[in-house]
Amino acid sequence: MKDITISGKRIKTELRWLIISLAIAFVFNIYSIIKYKTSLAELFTSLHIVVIVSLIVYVLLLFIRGLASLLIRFTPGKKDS
Amino acid sequence: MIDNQLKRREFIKGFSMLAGATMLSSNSWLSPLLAQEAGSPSVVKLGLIGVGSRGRYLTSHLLANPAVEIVAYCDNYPANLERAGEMVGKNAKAFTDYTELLEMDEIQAVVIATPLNEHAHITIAALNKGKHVFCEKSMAETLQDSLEMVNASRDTGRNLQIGHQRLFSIRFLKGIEMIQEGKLGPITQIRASWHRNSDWRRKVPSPDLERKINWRLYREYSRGLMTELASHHLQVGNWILGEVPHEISGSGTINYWKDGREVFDNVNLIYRYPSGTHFIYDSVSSNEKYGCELQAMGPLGTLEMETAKFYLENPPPAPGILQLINQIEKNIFDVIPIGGASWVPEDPNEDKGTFITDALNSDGSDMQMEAFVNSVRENRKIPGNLEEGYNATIASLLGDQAMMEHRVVTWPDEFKLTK
Repeated sequence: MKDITISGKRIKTELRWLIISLAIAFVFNIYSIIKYKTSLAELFTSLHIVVIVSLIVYVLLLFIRGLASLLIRFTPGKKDS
Repeated sequence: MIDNQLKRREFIKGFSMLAGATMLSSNSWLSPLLAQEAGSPSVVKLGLIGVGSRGRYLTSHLLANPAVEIVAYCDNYPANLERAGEMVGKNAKAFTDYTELLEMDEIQAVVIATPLNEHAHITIAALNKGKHVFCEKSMAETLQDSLEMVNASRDTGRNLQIGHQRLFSIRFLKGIEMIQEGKLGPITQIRASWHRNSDWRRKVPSPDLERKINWRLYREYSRGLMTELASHHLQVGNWILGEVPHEISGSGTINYWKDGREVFDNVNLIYRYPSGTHFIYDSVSSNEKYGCELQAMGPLGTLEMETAKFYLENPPPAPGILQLINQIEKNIFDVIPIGGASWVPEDPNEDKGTFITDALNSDGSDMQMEAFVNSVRENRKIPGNLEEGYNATIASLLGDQAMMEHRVVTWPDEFKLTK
């Protein structure tokens, strides 16, 4: 059986994407507080929802990144160059 | 002893979580429960008159109190007398004639749980003999008898307590407190119902005992659903609004249990209060889906007092982020109407409600008997209780009158209680 090796670079990249997801979810929360005129305390009280949303965003981004890398890999122009 | 003290302590703990002094001033009948005892309480000697199912239920609460000695009991139905004898023990004397029981000087107070038609004359006889009286609701079959019972208590200075246990229930006390605090806004409607799916009959060993055992079904002894059930909710309605109704209309029929009964098997009434608020009551005997409930409604919320649940008209909104997610979900998945009806159904408020107390086990019967015993020991009246019982009885009897006479009746001035 072949060992799967996750490189330090890959871990760093994924952590970066996770932080980006978290930031997106946080901005999403700020936007919703402004839009629905709810309490600013929700910046903290809704953190658990923010974390869940960030994981969903991360998975969505993972899917988009996967699609993008597939597209790049199978684009003929890129192969020729 | 421990059980009883524990119950009382739990009640007082629950009560003290309410607004304390304010609650006591508006619910003065609770005062005997809050009196501090110095040392062991002295024994109170009681007699029981009427020991059928309700009488024995009350007795079970009395027997839980070690400071109560039941010295005599009375019933004119041998089976009841026998069952009560097993409960109270051999030391208590058994009677079939209540007048003999009332002759016993050592009896300080009596508990009356006879059929309704017997309440007035037994109560008045007992008060005139110097006994304190606990009488099951409703007070009497007529307005005049009810007033005479009040007058007898006032003339003799003896306590007459009427069995409206909701006055001692934490659920109802907490609910009343919320109403008084304005959590519902002004009360604009009260809706109460008592729905059962049963014929309300007891087994009869011999046909000649039919009316004696199933007395609730015959007008000679009872006013059926009104005096046996509605009076409880009418008492709560008066309590909530702090006034008595002045106009009553209603309709009652026998539409299902056509078994020879004389009282209605379903009733529908509207009580109009001077403030303009309506109390809408209905009771059916052929469907129990909605059970027993009293809903107090105001512009800010609804309180279901039997189940102790409070529903806000405008519950606090969900966190913004959840609202945004819902909105996105709706935009993606909802069907977009391109035509059709402009009318949108006014669905009920979907608030799931919150329990206003966790004291859901007791209906207040235990504490009402405790209060009675304490008031007998202190040889004083329970303030406010008799007035609550009287007003509920008059309201239930006037409701029956409105249905029987097919007209709107008003509360007669001569039966308005003066302080």
